[in-house]
Amino acid sequence: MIDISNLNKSFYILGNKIEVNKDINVCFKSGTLIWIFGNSGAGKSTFLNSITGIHDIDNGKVIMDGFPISDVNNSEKSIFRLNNCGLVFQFFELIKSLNAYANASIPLQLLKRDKHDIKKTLDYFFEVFNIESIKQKRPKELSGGEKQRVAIIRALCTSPRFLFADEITASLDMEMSAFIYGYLKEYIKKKNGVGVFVSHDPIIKDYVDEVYEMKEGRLVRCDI
Amino acid sequence: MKLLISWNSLWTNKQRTIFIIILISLAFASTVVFNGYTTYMINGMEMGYVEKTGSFQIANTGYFDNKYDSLLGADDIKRIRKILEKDDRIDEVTEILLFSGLIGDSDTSTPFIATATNNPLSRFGSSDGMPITHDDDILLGSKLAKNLNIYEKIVQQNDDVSVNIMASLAGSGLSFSSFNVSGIYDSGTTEVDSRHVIMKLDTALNMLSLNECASYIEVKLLNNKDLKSVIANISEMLDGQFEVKDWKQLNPSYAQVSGMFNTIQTFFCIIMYFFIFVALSFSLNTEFTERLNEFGTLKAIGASKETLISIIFYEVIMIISISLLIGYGEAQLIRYLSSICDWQFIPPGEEIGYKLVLIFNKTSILLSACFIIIVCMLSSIAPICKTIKYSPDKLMHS
Repeated sequence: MIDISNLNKSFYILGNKIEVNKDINVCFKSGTLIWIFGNSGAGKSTFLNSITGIHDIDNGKVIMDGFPISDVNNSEKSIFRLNNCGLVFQFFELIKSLNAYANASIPLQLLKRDKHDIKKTLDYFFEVFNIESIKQKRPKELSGGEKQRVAIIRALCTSPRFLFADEITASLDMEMSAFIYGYLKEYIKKKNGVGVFVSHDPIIKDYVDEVYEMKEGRLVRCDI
Repeated sequence: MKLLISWNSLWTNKQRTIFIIILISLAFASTVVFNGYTTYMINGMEMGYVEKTGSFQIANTGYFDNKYDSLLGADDIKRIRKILEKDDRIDEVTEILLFSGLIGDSDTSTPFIATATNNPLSRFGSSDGMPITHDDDILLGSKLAKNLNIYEKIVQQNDDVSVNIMASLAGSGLSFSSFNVSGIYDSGTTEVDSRHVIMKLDTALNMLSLNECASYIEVKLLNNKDLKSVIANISEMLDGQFEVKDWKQLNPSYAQVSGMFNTIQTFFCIIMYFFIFVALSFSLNTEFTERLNEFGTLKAIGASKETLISIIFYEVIMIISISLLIGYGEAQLIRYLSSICDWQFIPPGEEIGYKLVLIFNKTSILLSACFIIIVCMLSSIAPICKTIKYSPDKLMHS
C-alpha cells in the first residue's frame, strides 16, 4: 500500500515559486494498478519522483507498506528503492557505456546477487520480452522499443513490490504494449504490490484498477 | 560492475581520453627527465669536486683556516696511514703539499700555487706535452704557461723548457731551484690554470729542504655513499688530534649550486603541476559533467554514494596508471636518445663540455608519480561533490 497525505512539491525558477503538486491525498491499495494521465506539464513525472523519494517534497508524507520514505535520509531512500521499487524512466536512462545485458543487471549487481542468479533472472526476462538477440548491443545500437524493454527488465529484475513507470510503452507497438500491460498486471496481482504508471496510451485502461488525472498539480480520481 | 562502468566510460569519448592520457604522460615524462638532468648535474658536480679534493682530507687542527702553516710530520703521516689502512672502504690515500712562491725565467715572473703529490702521473697526467716522469719535471697550468710565454715551446716539445722557482714554507728560508717544464695541465677553470704548478712530493721536499711532511692527506673512497660512516670511524680513531673535512665542507659552493638546481627543479615542478591541474580539472570535469545524468540514474535506481564515488575513483586510477606507464616509457626513450646522440652541456665559466646524461633514480620517479596522482585526485573532487550533493532528479536532468 502507498499512503500519500498532504503532498506538496514546488520548484523555484528564476526566483519564482512554481507549485507543481498541490495537496495530494491518496491511498493506493496493494494489488492495484494505477494509471495517471494529464496534460504535459501537469506534474505527473514530478509526482512519481516525489513519491519514490528521487527528489524531496516540500511537505506531506509518503508511506510505502509502513516505510515512511518521505521522512528518511537519502541513503535510506536509495536502499529502499533498490530493494523494493522498480523504476522505468521516461527517456529510458540507460548507461551509454554498458551493453543491454549489463544495463539490465545493474540493480542485481548493486544488490551483490550471485552471478548465476543474475544470469538466470535476466535470461528469463530477455526471453519473455523477446530481445535475446540484443544482449551485447550498446544503447546507441538499439531501437526505441528495444531500449524500452531493457529499461522494463531493469525495473523488474529484483522482483520489486512497487513499480513506477513513466510512459512505459511510448516506443512500443500496440501488440507489445498490450503484452507488457498484461504481464505487469499479472505480476502486480501475484506480488500484491502497487504499480503506478504515467501514460498517454489509451490501451492501458483495460488493464488498470484505478485512474487519476493530474490537473493543475492536483490528483483527481476518474472513472475507468 | 563498477570497474566495468569505469573502464567502458573511459573509451566512450576516445579522443578526450587519449588527450588526457597524452597530457598526463608528457607531464610525468618531462618531470622525470628534468629530475634526471638535475640529478646528473648534481652528481657530476659531486664527482668533479671529489676528483679535485678527494672524498675527505685530514690535516692538523687549524690547517684548514690558515692554509700554509701547521704541516703534518712524518710520524703524523705514519699514524694516519696506519688508521686508514684498516678501513677497506678507502680506495686511495695521497699526501699533498701545498706551497706558493714566484715562478719565471730571465724575462718574466709571476706568483704560483704548487700542488706536490707522490703520484702526479695518475692524478694529473698532462693535457699537452709530456707527463711528469723525472724528478725535476713539473707541469704548469695552461694559462700560467701562456703568461710566461712558454706555452708553444712546451706543446711543440722542440726544446727543453726550464723555469725558476722561488718559494718558502712553514718558516723555512727561501728556496730557489730550476725545473724542467714537461707538460701542460688544463683543469678547465681559467682562474686555477693561471697559477697552478704540479710536481712530485719528493721534488718539493728537496727544494724546500724539508723532511717528510704534507699539508694534508687526501682520501678517496670506493663509494662516496660511505662518507659519513667512514669519517665517523676515522675521527673516533684519530681522537680529535687532527681535523677532518669532507668534500662538501672543502667546496662550500656545492651547497649553493646544488641548492640553486633544487630550487629551479622545484619551481619547474610547481609550475608544471599547476598547469596540469588546470588542464586536467577542466578535462575531467567536462567528462564527468557529461555523464552526471548517468550518475543520477544509478542514484535513482539505488546506488549508494560510495558506489558512485568508487566509479569515478576507479576511472581516475585507470587514467593515471595508463598515463604513468606511457610517461615512463617516454622518459626512457628520451634517456636512450640522449645516450646515443652527442648532446653536450658546457657549464658557465668552463671551457670543457659534458655529455648530457640523464640519471633516473627511484625516489625522484616515485615523487613525480605521487605528484601526478595527487593532482589527478584533486581534479576529480568537483564531480564527486556534485554527485554526492545533488538529488538523483537534478543529476538526471544535468
